[in-house]
Amino acid sequence: MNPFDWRGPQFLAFYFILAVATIALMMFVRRRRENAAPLPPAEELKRGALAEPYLIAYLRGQKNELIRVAVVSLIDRGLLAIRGKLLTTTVLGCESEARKPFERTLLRFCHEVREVKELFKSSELEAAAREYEATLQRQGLLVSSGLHTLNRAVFTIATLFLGGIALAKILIALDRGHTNVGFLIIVGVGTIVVAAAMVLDPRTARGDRYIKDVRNLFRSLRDRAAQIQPGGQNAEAVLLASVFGVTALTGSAFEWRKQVFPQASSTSSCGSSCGSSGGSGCGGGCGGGCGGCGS
Amino acid sequence: MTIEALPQPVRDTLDGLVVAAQRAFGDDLRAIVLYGSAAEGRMRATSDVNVAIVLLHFVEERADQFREPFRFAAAAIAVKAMFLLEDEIDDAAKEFAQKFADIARRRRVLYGDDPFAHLDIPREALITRVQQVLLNLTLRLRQNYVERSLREEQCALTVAEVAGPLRTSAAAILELEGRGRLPPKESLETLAAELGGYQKLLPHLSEARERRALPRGHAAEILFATLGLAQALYGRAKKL
Repeated sequence: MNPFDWRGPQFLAFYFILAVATIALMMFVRRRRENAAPLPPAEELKRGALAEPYLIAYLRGQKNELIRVAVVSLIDRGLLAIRGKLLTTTVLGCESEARKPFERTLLRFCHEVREVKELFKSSELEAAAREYEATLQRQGLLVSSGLHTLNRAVFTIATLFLGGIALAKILIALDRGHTNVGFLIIVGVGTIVVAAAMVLDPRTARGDRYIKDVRNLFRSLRDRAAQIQPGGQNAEAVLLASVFGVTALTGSAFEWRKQVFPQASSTSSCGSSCGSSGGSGCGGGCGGGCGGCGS
Repeated sequence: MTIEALPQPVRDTLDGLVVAAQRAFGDDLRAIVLYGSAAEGRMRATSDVNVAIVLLHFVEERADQFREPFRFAAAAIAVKAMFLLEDEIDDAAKEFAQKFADIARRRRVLYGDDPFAHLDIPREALITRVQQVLLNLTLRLRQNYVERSLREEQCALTVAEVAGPLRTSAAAILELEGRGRLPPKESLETLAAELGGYQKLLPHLSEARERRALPRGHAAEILFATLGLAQALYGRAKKL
């Protein structure tokens, strides 16, 4: 009955069951800890307590998604301008006082001409994004720092446990002259990847539910995405991008977003039918023009 | 119709909007009234959700707190709000008689006491306003025909936009002719039959409102027929 003496297929079945049970146990521990934290009533969330688009963007894809949505919003309002892969604050952006601290930081950062990829590496923007992380943690939508540390520890123990068992079996098999250990390696690595995605996900179950709820709420906005007017007079463009991602801005008025985030465009669900993104210019939203801030 | 008949996202958003308005405006908030097609339970893909927010005062600090939740709701379910002070109701009912006649016909109180329960809309004001609205629609439709009718999808949007005002105008005309209060859609059906030649157009108005689309190859002629209907209704309103 020693599993290490079992033949390959039996051991693989045993290992698979063990891996599923281990991941289930890790998720059980994680959810118990999440639910133990005192949280505001769920009804508050339904009633628009998180009406701020940038919070939704951060919840959906953390700092990078927040940056994408903020850039789209500021270009749409004519406060940032795009030239090729370069971003710069427009004259209008320099003269206007953006209300949100993150927008102010982004506009200040782009007083110098910046490549889009620089935004994702900026420590200034990372620091400015932390207010959203803190708010979402308070609402129980992202895991707290303490819980994240615990999740990492649990994941490490589980990885050592599952990895150790797989390694022991591989060494025993090799010692006995068997070299067909490829499947076990694949299952072992696959298990760790799945466990990492599930256990280390910064979003809580409550956060997942909230994202599902807002996606449901904004379904009709997505249906009329092609009719959304540029210019930022209402919150439709920024909310559509924050709830569904910048690729959801399918209207011709937002063609420029493919130029800003070509990678996001290429992974869009509309695939090749979206057409080329090259050289489409700023479209209706750039307004204001470039020109820096009095430098 | 009860609010329960509305789609869940609309209900949730309106629920959130009422709570946000209470928090923002406090004791200045007198009532929130849903009116138009949503109040009637006949929302379509292109329908706006119209609400009247009746206040005692419109105070800057309080309005500021309402901005973010309102923009959220407006993006989610196309809420259009009229911020009305309690003591402006009578004047507004005279100046915008057709809109208020529609409120009198189709409304649901979401919060507070019904501020429109004793709405007094002078007959002369309503006649003037109906004529004004229909003439305005006629002029706009002519402009839109010239500007947009080469593009079928734009025709559908235009027809969808004017279908609601045409229906409420028809309801007002029947009411002014002393023929009672019919729902706007049925009112337009009645008048279209009487005016002759427009019955075939009406399903296309509904289609444009529901699907933002018109039959391929016929969008421009439908837009032109809609212009004809607006003109005919204006002619009928002139006889009031």
